[in-house]
Amino acid sequence: MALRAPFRRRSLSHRLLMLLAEVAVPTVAIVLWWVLSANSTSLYFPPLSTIMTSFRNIWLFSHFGSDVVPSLENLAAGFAIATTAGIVLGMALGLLPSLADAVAPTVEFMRAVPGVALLPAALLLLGIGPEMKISLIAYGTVWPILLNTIDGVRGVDPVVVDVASSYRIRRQDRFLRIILPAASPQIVAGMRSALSIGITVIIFSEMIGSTNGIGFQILSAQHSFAVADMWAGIVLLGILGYLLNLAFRGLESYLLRWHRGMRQLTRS
Amino acid sequence: MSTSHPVTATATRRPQRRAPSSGVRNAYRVAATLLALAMWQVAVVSGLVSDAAVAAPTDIAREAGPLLASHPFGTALLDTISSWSEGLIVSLLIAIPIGLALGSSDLAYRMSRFTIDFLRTIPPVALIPLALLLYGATPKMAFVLIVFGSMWPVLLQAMYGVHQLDPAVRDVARAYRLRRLDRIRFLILPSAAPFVATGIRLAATISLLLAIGAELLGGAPGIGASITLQEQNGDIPKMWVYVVVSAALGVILNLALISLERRVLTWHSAHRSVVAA
Amino acid sequence: MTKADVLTNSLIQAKAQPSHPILEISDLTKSYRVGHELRPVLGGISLQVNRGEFVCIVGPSGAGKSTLLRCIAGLLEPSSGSVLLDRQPIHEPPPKLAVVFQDYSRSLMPWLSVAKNVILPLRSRGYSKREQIKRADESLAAVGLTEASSQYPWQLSGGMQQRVAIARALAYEPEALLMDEPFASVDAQTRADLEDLILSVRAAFGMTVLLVTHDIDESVYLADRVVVMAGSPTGVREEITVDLPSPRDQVRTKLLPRFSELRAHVLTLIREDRVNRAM
Repeated sequence: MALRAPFRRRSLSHRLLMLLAEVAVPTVAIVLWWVLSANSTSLYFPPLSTIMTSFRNIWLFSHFGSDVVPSLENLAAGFAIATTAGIVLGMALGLLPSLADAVAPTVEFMRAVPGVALLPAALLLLGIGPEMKISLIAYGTVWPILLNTIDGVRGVDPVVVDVASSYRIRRQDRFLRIILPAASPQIVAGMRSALSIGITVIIFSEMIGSTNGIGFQILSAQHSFAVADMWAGIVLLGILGYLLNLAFRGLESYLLRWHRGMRQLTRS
Repeated sequence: MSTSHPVTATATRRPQRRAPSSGVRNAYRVAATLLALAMWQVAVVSGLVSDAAVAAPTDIAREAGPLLASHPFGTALLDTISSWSEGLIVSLLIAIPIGLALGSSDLAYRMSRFTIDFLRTIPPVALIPLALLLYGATPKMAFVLIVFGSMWPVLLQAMYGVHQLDPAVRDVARAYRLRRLDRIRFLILPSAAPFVATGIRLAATISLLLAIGAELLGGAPGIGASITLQEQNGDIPKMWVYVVVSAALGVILNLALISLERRVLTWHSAHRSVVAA
Repeated sequence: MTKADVLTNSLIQAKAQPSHPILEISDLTKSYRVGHELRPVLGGISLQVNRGEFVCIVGPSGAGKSTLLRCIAGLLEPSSGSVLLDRQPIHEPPPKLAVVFQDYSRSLMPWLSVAKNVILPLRSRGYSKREQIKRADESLAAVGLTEASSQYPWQLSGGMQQRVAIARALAYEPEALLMDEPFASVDAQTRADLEDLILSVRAAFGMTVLLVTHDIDESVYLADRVVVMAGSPTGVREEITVDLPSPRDQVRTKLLPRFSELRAHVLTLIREDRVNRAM
């Protein structure tokens, strides 16, 4: 076995030390923020303690149901639509390379339209309700999923294709039990990109003409110069975004545990 | 492009199809694009999609001619491009050195990873209200937003690019007692380069999106602001000209970056899709 | 070697044998288009395999042995000529043939357990769930992998993975087994074990086997008949009947002078071909 960094021989105390190092910076950063802003008289950078008070008042839990939940619901709905459409179309296009090539310019162009740029049109077309937000989220998030699915399907190992062919595996098994799992690492990577896009879209879609949502709250706090409230919203988004990513990573490790197992073995 | 197949048949699909020539492929592409445009046209003209929100391609084309030659357009375009480029360059100047430095120390990498991961997930659009408070609807607002929003992917990519250096390669450097400067020049930078390149591509794309976002939502001057303006004027076709332009900017940017990357990193073109976990 | 359970598939021996060969390859050619040229790989191959026979196809690397096997398996369309399986022409992979590929790590699905990998082809056959599991268990037992059935392929060694591939082929209950350099990617000791495994499985199930290899020793050890491919484009150089006694043994059989003679004969043919190609 080649000489490698001895990361197998970590003792418990070493690992605890590493964990400590990882939380050290954020902890120190938060403490510094607290201390340095404690006596702040700046209009735009209120003391952290004030921000945390606003946070508690607004988001725990009075506005949780009225703003966080709808935002998350719309995000989930748009994301679900994009995932379904992206995977289905992606599989079809992945299996029909000439078709995929023919629509490539159109897809590339549509993908390049910034979601923000479509916001005014979406408002005119669909109004200010959840349909507008869900549509915009679906539009923004479908592209990474679609393109990654196409790549994933195209990249299915030719040996696997031969096995499916020579064992005459029936069509539904070919799609659901061979092609889809084989492409799933790529698809999930696409979904991860889509998630961060989706978070962006839900926020800005609530910033014009909306009546609820996290983005709406942040903006209206700014309009009424409730600066601490605005900061509280930003903090919430940071936490929410982190939690969503964590949840997604959990889902990913469940769906792709076979993939992780494989890679761990080839690495060692 | 050769249409040969490997003589040692590994996995060839049957029946064996000859790859279509590029002329045929382009014909299909044009046909598909025209079909898409036709569908769009029909959707608007038939009333399926309201023309108070979406303009038909023919109307967009008609307005595009005079609009693109006009002064306001030129100004808006210049505004967007300058915000984008200034913000991007500053963001890279900050993020790449810091990222490389953080990645080179295992301890620093671990310590900063959590914080950077956290800060990265804050959608920059959420900071538009704050930026508006601080700077108003000015180019500076867009600039600050772009710098803050686009530096994270580059930072992470640079960190990861250095961090992932194969320990076996590091051992080689030590065994041959390479000087620090040589090690950086010949080992670390080249191996981190594809990751940094991906980071730059991500940052460039994000910068453009943030520029337009800052303009549309925040009112900084540029293409995004023009979209809002035309919408307020009720001139939907003109609004869509700007929407199309924003997409075109993205496409051009992407193509330019890919060809640049390909030229600089020809020996690493397989790594173009490397992204930090 | 553990004694394998005999499936009721010994109908091959119980039924009255039809007289025609199970595989008839007639004048098979295959050419590839390279740019504007047409490069011939296989030139007019004619071959017959009888029921229950073990035929090894040997030839130098790059000769097109795999191409030939893929044409027979229905994975590749020949440029001309025909392949008949039980008198029926093959245009697509037929249900009575099973293939074992060289690269076991890529031919097994890493997201499925060993048992599910073996069962996967059976799902398209209309067996009940219980029947599928039963057949899979029997096949895995035949290759000695009963304990591994709930593990994932990548958790197993190379030799074990190839056994899974063999079990999958067995569960498919083919009339003929096609193997494309199946033991080329394992170490020598494992190769010996797998060779004996395939011999015992073939004896237990009375299967016809067509195995492609570049290993001359292996071809003589395993086969009833060795088909040497050579030439450019590749054709059948000679068919050699292997009159070594059965059952074969890694030590005793290989000590026999007849083994060395046959081996030398094959090697000479291949060497001649190499010289001819170089000229």
